[in-house]
Amino acid sequence: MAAPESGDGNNGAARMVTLISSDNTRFEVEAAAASLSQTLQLTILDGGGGGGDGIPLPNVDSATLSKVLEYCIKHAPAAANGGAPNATAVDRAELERFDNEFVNIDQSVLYSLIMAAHNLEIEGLQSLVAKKVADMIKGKSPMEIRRTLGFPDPTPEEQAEMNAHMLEYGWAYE
Amino acid sequence: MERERRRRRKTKKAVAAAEVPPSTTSVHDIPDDLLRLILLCLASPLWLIRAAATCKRWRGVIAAADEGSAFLREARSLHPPTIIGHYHDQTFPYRTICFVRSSPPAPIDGSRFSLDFLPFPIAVDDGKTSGWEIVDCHGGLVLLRNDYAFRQSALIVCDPLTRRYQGIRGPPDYTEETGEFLCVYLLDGEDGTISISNFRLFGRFWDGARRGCMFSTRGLALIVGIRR
Repeated sequence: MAAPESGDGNNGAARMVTLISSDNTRFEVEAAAASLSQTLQLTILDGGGGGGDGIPLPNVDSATLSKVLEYCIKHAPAAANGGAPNATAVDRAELERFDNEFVNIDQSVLYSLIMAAHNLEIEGLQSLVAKKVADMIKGKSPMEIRRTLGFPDPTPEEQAEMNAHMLEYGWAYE
Repeated sequence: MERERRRRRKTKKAVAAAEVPPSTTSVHDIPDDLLRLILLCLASPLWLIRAAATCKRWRGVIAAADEGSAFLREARSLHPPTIIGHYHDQTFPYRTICFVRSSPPAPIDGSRFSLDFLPFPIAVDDGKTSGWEIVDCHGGLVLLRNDYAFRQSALIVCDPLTRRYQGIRGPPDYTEETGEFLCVYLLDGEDGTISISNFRLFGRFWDGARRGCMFSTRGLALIVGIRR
């Protein structure tokens, strides 16, 4: 008899669910990982996503979904422990390292990710990406922010507004 | 069999990923509530001000006047304000008010808090006093009173950073002969935010009887109440 796997309350193989991206790619993941999404959790609790049926996610493409699932799989054990009160410092440091590396990606992926996280109600992922984008904004001047985030060049009207703002709030630009 | 099927799925996934052109989602594609979430992560009000200058949409999100400037209020509760210094109001050898930065210094130039733009000079070095005295500070504004300038304005509220001020006359029947403010406090405007164009004052004054009065920039009305 095999020893029960740690963290698995089902005494056997973990329950799997299938998610289908907008471009019709099927992803099979553990229900525990998919349940990080509040939206999916309800469907899964109702018994959805198993067997041959998949849960269609018409707003999330396969590239984004695979990234979302990478996050969920990594974070599922800690989430299963109810925010992991007994997690070791090493575990937490490892998750932090993972998070930092995870958001070290192309900006357009970041924006797709935060929209998917919002859509699927994965709060941890949503705030992780929000913080990353905020990190790209902080400490910069308006022009630097525009350049960093790939805004088009300001129109003369926008430039005039920016100048007026900087004149009024000069103290914020020193 | 099961493994075979899974492998086929995997292959299909790899091909699909390769065929999908790289996504070109930009910051303009994300909805307002997510943009709001991102901007709420900015811990310093300086960063928020710069973000507000970036474009019209961002400014709209930050300065939204909905539900009493909900965004700014939430930002303030997430990132509580820090004290950047204090005013030192001294009377010897002559009356002067100077700004002393706290340590470690905030990233704002301390000279920005000079009160040298008020209608009567703060520092008078020929032995006379200008009369301005600091009564209260709140929300970046400074409230001063001047017992020597009743007729112009007994009280003045100023915003050192934008160098603007607003004089406030006493109640209509309040004159240097009849009245004297006992204490005055600077409060948030009615919507819970505060600026040089939106604040309230609560004062108690003496004109033979003790009275309380509330001044609000909304409607520029002076409400006199509670006679005791």
